[in-house]
Amino acid sequence: MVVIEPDRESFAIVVLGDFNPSIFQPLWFSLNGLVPDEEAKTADISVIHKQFASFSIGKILVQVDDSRLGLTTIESSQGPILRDLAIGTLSILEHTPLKAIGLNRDMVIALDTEEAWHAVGDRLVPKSDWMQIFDRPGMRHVVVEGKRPNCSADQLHIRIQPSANREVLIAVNQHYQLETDQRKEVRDRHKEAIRVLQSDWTSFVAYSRDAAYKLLHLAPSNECSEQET
Amino acid sequence: MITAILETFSRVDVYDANLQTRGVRSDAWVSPEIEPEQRISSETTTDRLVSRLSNGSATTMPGDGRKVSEPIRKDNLVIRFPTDHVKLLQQWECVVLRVHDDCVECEMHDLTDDSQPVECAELYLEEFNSFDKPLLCEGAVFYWSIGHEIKRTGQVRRYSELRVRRMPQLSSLKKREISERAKQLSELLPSNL
Repeated sequence: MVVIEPDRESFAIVVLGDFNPSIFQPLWFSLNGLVPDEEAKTADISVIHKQFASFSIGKILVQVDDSRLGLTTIESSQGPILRDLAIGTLSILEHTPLKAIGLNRDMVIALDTEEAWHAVGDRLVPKSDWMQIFDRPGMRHVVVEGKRPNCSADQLHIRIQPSANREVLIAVNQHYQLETDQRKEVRDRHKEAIRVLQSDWTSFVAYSRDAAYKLLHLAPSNECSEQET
Repeated sequence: MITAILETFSRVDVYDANLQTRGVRSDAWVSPEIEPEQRISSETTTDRLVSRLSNGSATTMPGDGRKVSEPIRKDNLVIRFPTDHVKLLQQWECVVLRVHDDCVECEMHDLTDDSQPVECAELYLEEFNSFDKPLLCEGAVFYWSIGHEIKRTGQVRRYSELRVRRMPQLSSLKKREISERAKQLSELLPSNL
């Protein structure tokens, strides 16, 4: 059995556009058939307001303001459900002007030794220049952007940040600009957002994990487990 | 340009106590002033958030009796990883072939490794959530995840979850669009097919 997950991870889908936060309520999701009624009734509501809404339905956190819709889960098993919820939500909001969409996977990976943990920072941010300015320089976080080969995403951003207990956070963001000269119509931008979620999600999940392991110089774990399914 | 792109980043973060003395941008606040017409629906929920974020000391009572919450710092809405978590070992996307007796017959596609062959399985209906059972019919899709649930104390439990995919019902306009498109396509086909 292949171990597919880092120590902890989350998935998030972030859409930029013109949203009306006050319509985003748990019952709205259940009335539209996107979540079970039982989960909507027991949703953990933080705030629902005309400027901002934040609540959890099941294991998915919904945060929306007038320019940004974010769906997040901190349980790795919920990735496909998150994707489906985003597709369903955008299908219903077909007249909402969308500007951009981002697929996110954040992974926390614990390293075996403190030396290995420091080595990540030393490799990604060489210290020689910094040593001329101050003592004991250390990497707080690094963000690098680039293009992913054979992918229609406009940009990829990878943020690496050390955490306590010899852990490293690797946050991968695959960004698509929906509002372009070729896609001026709201309908075209919607189609593209849904295409991204339907076609690119699975490969993004695999790519982001591989990227994390490559950056940390780790081999993905292929150990066999005796665990019965 | 870069700032706009970075807006699609997640808000998940790891806690870093050393950075808490950084300045906060002036737009990093939500002002949840309650509108009269929204008072009933949002009053309690706002209270819950504020009491959680600021130890219950933030709600104030203006002269007209309406409850108004103090502004909320957006930093407080950053998502943190929980201490208890599920370590996923394998996940399948399953298509229901048929439901018979108390069993669900399905075709399993490995989401862990797409090079794996498609497998078939039979699952007991009682394994599914009660709210998912009515959706189980031929063609329905569900996800089967297995792994380990790891508690803060180090306790490990076996984890298995079945969740049925939910999609919104098509609107009548959408149905009409699809019918028209299907009709157009069928007219392109030779009539003897």
